Amino acid sequence: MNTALPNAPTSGSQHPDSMGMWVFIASELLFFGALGVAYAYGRVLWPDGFAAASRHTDVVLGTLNTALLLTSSLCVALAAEAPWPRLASRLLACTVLLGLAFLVVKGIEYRHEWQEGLIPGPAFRLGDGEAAPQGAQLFFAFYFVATGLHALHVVGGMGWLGVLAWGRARGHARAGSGPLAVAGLYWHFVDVVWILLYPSLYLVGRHP
Amino acid sequence: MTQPPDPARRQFERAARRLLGVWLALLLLLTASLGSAYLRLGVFNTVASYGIALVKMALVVLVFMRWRDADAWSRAAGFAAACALALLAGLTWFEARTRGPAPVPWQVPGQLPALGAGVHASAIDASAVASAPEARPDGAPPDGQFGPAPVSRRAPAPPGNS
Repeated sequence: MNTALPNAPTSGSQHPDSMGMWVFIASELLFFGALGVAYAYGRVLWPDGFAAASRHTDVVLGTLNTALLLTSSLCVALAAEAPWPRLASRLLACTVLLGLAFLVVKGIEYRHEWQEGLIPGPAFRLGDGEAAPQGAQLFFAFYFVATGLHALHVVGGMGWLGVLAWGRARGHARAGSGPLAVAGLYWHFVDVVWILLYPSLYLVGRHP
Repeated sequence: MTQPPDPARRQFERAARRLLGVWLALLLLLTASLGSAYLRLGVFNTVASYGIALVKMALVVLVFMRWRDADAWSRAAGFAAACALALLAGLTWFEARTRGPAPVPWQVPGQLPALGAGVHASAIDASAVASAPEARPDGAPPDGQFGPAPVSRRAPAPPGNS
């Protein structure tokens, strides 16, 4: 086992694998971008329905989740800079725990939405006894597709960073600063996607 | 824990201060975004929420992802993806602006009942035809409906009856 780890962190963007990650991020940008365009189309066509539906999302939990992801991005960025392998490993473990907290909060939100009848389908209702305006179901269809796909990306990132945290703590060369910075690029991109989802899902039509 | 040499330690402390500052700025922007959503600003609610989101994205990409350190090919990949996304959004926008929300002739404007609600598709179709508003004698679309008048699905009358 090669236990030699470079002490001085290298820039992730200069790592040979970083270009592959940037290309992957570019493809992901188009993947989530197409969803975003579909959302914009629906919101322009049915502004009242999207606003009414958005008011039924949990803005407190959504804001909490945004803060959790931003903090997790900080941990990854600090880990990529840390010259001590053990500190980097602990910061990565913190990132995984914050990702787990994000998923738990998201699960609580899904449970509330299930109980309120906000799942698109025959039993869909907005909870106030009135007929749902046009577009409200489409909003929640987008909500579940976008947040579900995002959650899958979070799970993937947690697994990747978890392996790196484990390897970094044991001095594996494959968990060095280069691979860590490349994984960090992926995690930050997942954060960027959520930054755009947050106003689209939680902040529409909130003013009295 | 083995202590790294002083220059590496100092470099980490500098980087940590910068990253913590950016993180605090991100949290402040998050608070501003949430607060602005509760103000009645009209169209500027959307401008503010997405403007703040763009600033947050820029901070993450420039500082956390170290965009400035990326090589030229990586930047080119990101730029090409942004261009393709802008093309997709632009074409969608033009399509949306040039195609009116005309329903198909047998469909009244609105969301159809879900098939799982105990209504068969053909029943929905038949009820929609029956309840579709009739065209006005002057050929204009019926009240509350966009586009051309709905086309009748009945067979045309024989020529001798006209």
